[in-house]
Amino acid sequence: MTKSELVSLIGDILTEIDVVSGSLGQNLPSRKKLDELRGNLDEQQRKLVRLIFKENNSEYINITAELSKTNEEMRKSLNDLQRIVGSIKLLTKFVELVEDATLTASDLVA
Amino acid sequence: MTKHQTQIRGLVMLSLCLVLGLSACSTTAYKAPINQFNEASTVVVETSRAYINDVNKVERDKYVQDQIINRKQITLIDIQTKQLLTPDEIELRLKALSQLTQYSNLLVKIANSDAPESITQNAESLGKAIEKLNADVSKKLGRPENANFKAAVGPVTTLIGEVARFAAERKIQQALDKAVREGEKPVKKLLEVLSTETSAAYERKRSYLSRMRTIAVDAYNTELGKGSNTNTDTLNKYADQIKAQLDKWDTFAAANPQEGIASMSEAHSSLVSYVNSHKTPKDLADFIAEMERFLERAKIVGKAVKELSEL
Repeated sequence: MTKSELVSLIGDILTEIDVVSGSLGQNLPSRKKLDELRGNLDEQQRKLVRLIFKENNSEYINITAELSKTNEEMRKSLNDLQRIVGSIKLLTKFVELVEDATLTASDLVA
Repeated sequence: MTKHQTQIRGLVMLSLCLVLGLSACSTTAYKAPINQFNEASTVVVETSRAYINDVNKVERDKYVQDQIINRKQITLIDIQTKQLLTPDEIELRLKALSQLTQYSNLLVKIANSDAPESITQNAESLGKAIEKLNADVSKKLGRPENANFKAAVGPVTTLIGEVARFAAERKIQQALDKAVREGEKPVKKLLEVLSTETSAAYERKRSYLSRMRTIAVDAYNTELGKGSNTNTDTLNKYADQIKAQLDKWDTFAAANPQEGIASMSEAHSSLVSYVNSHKTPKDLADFIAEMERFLERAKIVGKAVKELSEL
């Protein structure tokens, strides 16, 4: 059984205990026993969950590094796309500048 | 353009399509499913973020409640000991979620890039600029425009534009394929750990809410047990608290983040499968259907989590 499955199983037991407890008077010995059991089980579940979180810490570091790299590649691709668009705009600008320069030169000659 | 020129242009376009890959000719096909993937991913990420941010609060609230019931002292050291995540550990998780959000957003940006359309428009502008240059120069030189040159400008600049457009569409296709393939392993792993952790966080919250039902019932029964000294208003107040706790309990059952993460996992697998497929119309149709299912499931979980936070 995995830790996650055990956490879930304890959760099922805890909710069952709560339903039974809610039907018993608070001062009854059986109720007090159930409350004690509940408290212990709950603490075990908490410790298990803490362990799960702790074990996963290094995974998050690796995942963040890998995704960050992939995201950087995508940003570069977006820049490349902008450059392709930009190069045609630049060509148009160049032609317009040539036209201006040609017209100015011919005016001066005239 | 003459008929001959049109035919040549058509042949060149067809050759380009074959050389650059037929799929490069229509990257717009999967804009919608990628947008849906992004929308649904946002819901799942936000739900996960909510559970991570909430995980210590649940332990604190539970501890304080238990101390009240048992008439015991509350200490800050005890509260700290009960915490499930340190601030640094929370930060680690939120950073990873942030990268996942950026990953999904960048996929959308690439898929929705208007570069192909911009290129077509700019190529038209280029053609017009060259035509104008030719006309002005000819006028200044006092000679008629070169008819052949004038006739060629339009088709040539259109071809330049179309080649650049194909290059852009291919770039988009390649960028998406590469991003999905490279992102497959970290996204899959992240969804696995998120699934485990949000499930664990969910169970802790379930334990707390379940206990609150019992506490609410105990309070009511204790007041009732006072017999003739029972205060009706207090009894009604406790009865309302029982109802409120049971409402939370019911809503909580639908707010299990597992469902959202599981569906995101399936949607992501579907995205990877599509990228690795031959991208036939059937492949695309299956992919689109999977994204629609994912979006629907994610919205249901997102709605339940939101309702729970408002209770």
